[in-house]
Amino acid sequence: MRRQVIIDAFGVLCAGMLLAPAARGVPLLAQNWRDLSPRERYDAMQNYRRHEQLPADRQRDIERRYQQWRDMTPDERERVRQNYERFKQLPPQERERFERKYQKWRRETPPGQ
Amino acid sequence: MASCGTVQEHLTAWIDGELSPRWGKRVREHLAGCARCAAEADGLRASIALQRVLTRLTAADVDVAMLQARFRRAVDGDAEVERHRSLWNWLLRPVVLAPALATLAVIVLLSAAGGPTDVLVPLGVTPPPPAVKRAPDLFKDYTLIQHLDELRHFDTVESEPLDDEQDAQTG
Repeated sequence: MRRQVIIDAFGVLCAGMLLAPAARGVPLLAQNWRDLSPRERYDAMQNYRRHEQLPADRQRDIERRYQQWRDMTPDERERVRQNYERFKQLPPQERERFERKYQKWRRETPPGQ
Repeated sequence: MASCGTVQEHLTAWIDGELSPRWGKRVREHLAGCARCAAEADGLRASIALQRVLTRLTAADVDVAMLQARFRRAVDGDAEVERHRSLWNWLLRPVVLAPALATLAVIVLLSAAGGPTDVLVPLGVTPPPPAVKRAPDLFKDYTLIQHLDELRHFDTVESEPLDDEQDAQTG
């Protein structure tokens, strides 16, 4: 009886851990290829082809950023996703301006910030 | 002098030499003075001569081999046309046409999508390359990860004034 209660409690705890971020709208990292929809898989394959075409140092740079992305908390990732949505909605001229601002900011800011 | 109508009625008999000398003389006199009846008589005389030649022709005068060859060519030509027509009819049957069009559509779609691999992998028929399988989220959020640094500092970057804008403000 006591053992059954412990098993049930453990099950509820595991389910809670898995479902809580999704319930809060926090995006989970896609851990498995099967989690992606066919459309997402298609886009991922196109991105893989682009990645393969890049020089080795650019590939390494993106893989370093990917590691940073993985190390971020779910909240930080959510904030970045929101910023990405804002960036996508910018008109082309504004995007170009943003890129110029970023280049300037990056020159003036020490690495690691 | 005899009238044109009377002369034309007797022209065939005159050409065949069946008229009496008196009527023959009257026809000759008329033809000498009437160009229209003379032309009619010439045409009639040529027709009668041709008719006489044709009635003298026999089977021996006809080139049977040539006729047979021409006949065979005509029949073979019709058969060839018929063969082509039946081939087209066979090809245009829905049972043949529908799969052919479907195959063509699949080939066009596969080519447009970048090849069979780029279609079969998303559909789960073929496994993805090991790099994609290892880090699917890298390739799913590839553009975002490419711009990760600027997106992390989006608000700070946005508030950064550009040099030309600063110049415009101070100027």
